[in-house]
Amino acid sequence: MNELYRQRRQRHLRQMLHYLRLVFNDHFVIALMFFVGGLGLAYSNWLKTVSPRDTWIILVVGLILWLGLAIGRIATLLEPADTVFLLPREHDLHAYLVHAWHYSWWLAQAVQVIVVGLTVPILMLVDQLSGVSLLALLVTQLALKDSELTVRVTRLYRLPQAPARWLGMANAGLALVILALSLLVSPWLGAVLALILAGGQRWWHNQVWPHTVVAWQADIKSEANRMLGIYRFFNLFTDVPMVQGSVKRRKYLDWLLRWLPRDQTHAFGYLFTRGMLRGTEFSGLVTRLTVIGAILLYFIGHGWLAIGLDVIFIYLIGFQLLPFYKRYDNIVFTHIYPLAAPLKFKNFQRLLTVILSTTGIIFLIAVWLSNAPLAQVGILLVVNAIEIYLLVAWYAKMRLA
Amino acid sequence: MALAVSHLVGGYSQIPVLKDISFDVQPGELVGLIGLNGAGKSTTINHIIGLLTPMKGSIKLNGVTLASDPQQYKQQLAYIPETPILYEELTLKEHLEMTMLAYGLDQTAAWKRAHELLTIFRLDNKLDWFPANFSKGMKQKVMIVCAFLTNAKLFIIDEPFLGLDPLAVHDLLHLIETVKKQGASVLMSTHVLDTAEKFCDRFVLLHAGEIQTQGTFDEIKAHYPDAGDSLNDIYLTLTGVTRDE
Repeated sequence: MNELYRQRRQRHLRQMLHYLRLVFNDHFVIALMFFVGGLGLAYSNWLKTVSPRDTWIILVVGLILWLGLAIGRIATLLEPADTVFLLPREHDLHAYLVHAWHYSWWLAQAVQVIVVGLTVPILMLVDQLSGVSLLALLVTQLALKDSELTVRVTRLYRLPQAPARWLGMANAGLALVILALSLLVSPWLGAVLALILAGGQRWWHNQVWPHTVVAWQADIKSEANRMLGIYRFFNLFTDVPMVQGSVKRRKYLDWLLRWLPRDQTHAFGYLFTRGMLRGTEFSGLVTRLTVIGAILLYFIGHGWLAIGLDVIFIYLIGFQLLPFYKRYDNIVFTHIYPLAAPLKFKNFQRLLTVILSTTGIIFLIAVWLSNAPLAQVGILLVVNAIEIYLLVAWYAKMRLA
Repeated sequence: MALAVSHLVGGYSQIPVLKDISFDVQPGELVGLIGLNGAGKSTTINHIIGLLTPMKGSIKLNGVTLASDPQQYKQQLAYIPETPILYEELTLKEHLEMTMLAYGLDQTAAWKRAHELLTIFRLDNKLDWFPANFSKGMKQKVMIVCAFLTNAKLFIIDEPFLGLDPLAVHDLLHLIETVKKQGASVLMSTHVLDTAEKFCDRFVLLHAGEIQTQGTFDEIKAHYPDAGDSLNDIYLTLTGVTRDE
């Protein structure tokens, strides 16, 4: 069982690494640097506006710490076939799950350290917390996460109905109370209580699991959901075969289609526009990046940083849309329609132009709303127009035609 | 002569699957393309619809090859695949419109025809549905409606009888009969030999990438008097797949 988890973890890590390499490609690292830089800048600017009298912020911090506890689950790496093949060794599965627990524990606690780290500047500013008190707060947060993870492991087993329903909620409720005491009364009191809670949960776990059975179906389902969440995240940046984009009718968008020309030369346009609007994969990508970009531009707004960000986001959207050109290549009819060969690419260029121009206009509005000087909006307009022209007429042609 | 395949050598890779195949389909004629799995039926069809390029030989549709005038060639051709292939994001109505646009059909006339066909195949109340979620038989009906919407001169139908309900098979055969009367040609591959025997005007029997024999049922029977009375028997004898009984 030890060996089994080790093998699966290795395969899992290899797969994650494979996707991470795809995610952190050159373009993305640049965009990420801008993104983190922009967020950091916004955060530090915001901190300057906070005064030590704003004690309500303490409550917000408590809430953030409490919500942060939900980050990090148990990577059981169970697979559907396990119900058949591991069922005979159910008792030994505890050893397997303990391995999963340890592996997930380190990951989850690393995230908690970051969460606490992010709130430290606010706490030092508002609450005037000392270094030792901050350490106590960190201990509290880690102990609370430990108890939360123990609950998750306990719930991998089939529990009597009442605890099954209340265990998670009760633990989360206690965590909230402890965090409140920690921030409002004494960090040390919070730390002691959190450690007691963590110890209690571990004790109870050891009492419970030998006398019950593994909740196979639920565990496999939740593991599948966890993996789907990860794949969805990766799918924002690259193609993940496990995530199939779904199709939604989206009748409320039909008015957009009415503007399009309908004749033989625009047959592929007819197909492309509908596919784009109704498939979740590519339309989701455009929407997400446009919204994120617009928000960042609204907060940054001024100077070269904004222009760079704008250029990068439009490029990111543009080059990630290129695979859509081949979306229908496996449908035999697209090859046997009596349509002249260049029409498909022309129709695609048209679609690309419309999408990127829309994004460009939204970005311009975001910059304009952030009170940037009108001259900068003008510069951005010219920059966008040139970039879109280059992407559509030159880059797309080089890659596809 | 509507379709003329002459000395076709072809296949997917360097090794040819089809070895020197010649046959034709006349206007107003239904020709059955018969063969075991792997005999080369689909490869032949893929060559005719233009997915594969001949290594040797030529395929002419009313005198035009794919290379000489691709648009003119493709305009004359309609194809019904064995496994229905649909656009996930298009509704039934949009599949029909897509076909009309792609073949440059007159919308009013095409819609009139479309409604007739939809009524025949009992799809007329499903125009706003996604056919991708239909059952296999219904998907196949969508393929049939799309193909017969065009004014094609040659219909290529790959194994139409599996998955369709008996009523739909009857309606399809009737439809084929109608386009034949209008002068169109139909090339149909199938394993359902007794239906083929009844409805096809001529047969092309493929085996291991070669044409075993071709002609009308009577011609074939006269040629192999000892092979049996039904197409089924004759075919099994000719391919040498006689099992000990």
